[in-house]
Amino acid sequence: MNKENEHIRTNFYIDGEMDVDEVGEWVSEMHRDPSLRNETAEAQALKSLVRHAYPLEGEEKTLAWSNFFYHNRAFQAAAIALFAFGLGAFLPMDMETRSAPGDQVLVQSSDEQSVVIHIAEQDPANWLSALNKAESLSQRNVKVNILANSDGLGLMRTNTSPYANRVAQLAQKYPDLAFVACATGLAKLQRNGLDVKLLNDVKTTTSAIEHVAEKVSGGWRYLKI
Amino acid sequence: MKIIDLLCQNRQFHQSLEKSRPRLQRMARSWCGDATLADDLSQEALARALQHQGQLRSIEKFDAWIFTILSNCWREHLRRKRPNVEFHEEEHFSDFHTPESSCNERDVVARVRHEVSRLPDLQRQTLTLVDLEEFSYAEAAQILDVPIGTIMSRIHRARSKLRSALGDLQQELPTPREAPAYLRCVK
Repeated sequence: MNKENEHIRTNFYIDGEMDVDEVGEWVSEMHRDPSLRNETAEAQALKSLVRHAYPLEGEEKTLAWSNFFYHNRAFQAAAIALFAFGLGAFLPMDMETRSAPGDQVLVQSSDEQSVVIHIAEQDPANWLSALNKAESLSQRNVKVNILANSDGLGLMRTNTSPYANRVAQLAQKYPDLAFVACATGLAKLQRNGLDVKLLNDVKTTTSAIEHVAEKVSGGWRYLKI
Repeated sequence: MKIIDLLCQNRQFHQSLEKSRPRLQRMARSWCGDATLADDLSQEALARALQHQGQLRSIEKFDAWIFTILSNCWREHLRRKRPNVEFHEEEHFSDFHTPESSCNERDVVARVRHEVSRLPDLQRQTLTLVDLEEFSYAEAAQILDVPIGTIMSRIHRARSKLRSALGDLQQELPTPREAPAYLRCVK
């Protein structure tokens, strides 16, 4: 693949223009090729820069965070870990897990053993997958946060969650498994007149993106489901 | 029942219209670089949307429809301002001066806005539709009334320019190799 094609394909990847198979191939390729991983991380960072440069009304906090981000080396490191290793290391694992669930073993390669599982889609199958993944990790004594924002908040709201009992059971069984909802997303739903009452075991965080950045900079791994 | 359906659709339309206002302002601001003009353009787009509500066939298409109107408003503004300039892919560079033009180089947000404002109009429009509103390439092609291949090449060229212009910000980032791996998977 020449450089120009690589850039165009990278754009397809970060803009969500690839289908599932293409994403799988791309992520596998990133896993093998550090320069492609770097290229993808840079492209994603560039896209984030543009997004954060034009906040919506009331998103000045995000704007301030964006400035902070680019002047703070800890957060830069967190971002690169998020974009590069989060995509390059976790996604293949996840895809392989789907194809051969019994064959996968997570191996700890540092003292830290903590994972943020991020859900942002209105998809009960997706939520179930997040819960299964969280339980699987918790059984291995991995510290887990399931973080929901945007449409993923449905998992944690009393009147929309199809898995309220499962959430309660998991929270009771695994003290190191936390359910965290984005307060910014909840406020948006509330402004649209929706009921945002949360399940009992759900905590809130001011902003999902800040929560991820904070955790990743503290050595947690990030998994988007 | 038909009357109730119509009333519901009308209510949904007005809610969508109201919710789109800040997004239209943001998009217009990214295109023109001026908050006052952005406000005028978004107001114009909202007024036209109200006038031509009947042209919207399905509320699911609302976003693409309203941003198409905004794009038309912006294009008409440029035509009034620069009547003899043809819109080509590369030649038509932005000539507006924004507060960001004299930005403090340390202010990253202002720098990004400045570099975005220096992109050719059509590349800037395409990039911001995809990056700010997350329109798919197909939707962006529909909004701007160009083939999807044009969207791909504009995105490619716009990001290449931004990458060069803002490269120093990214060079400060550590490479992925420097970051430690905490978990890996084995079979």
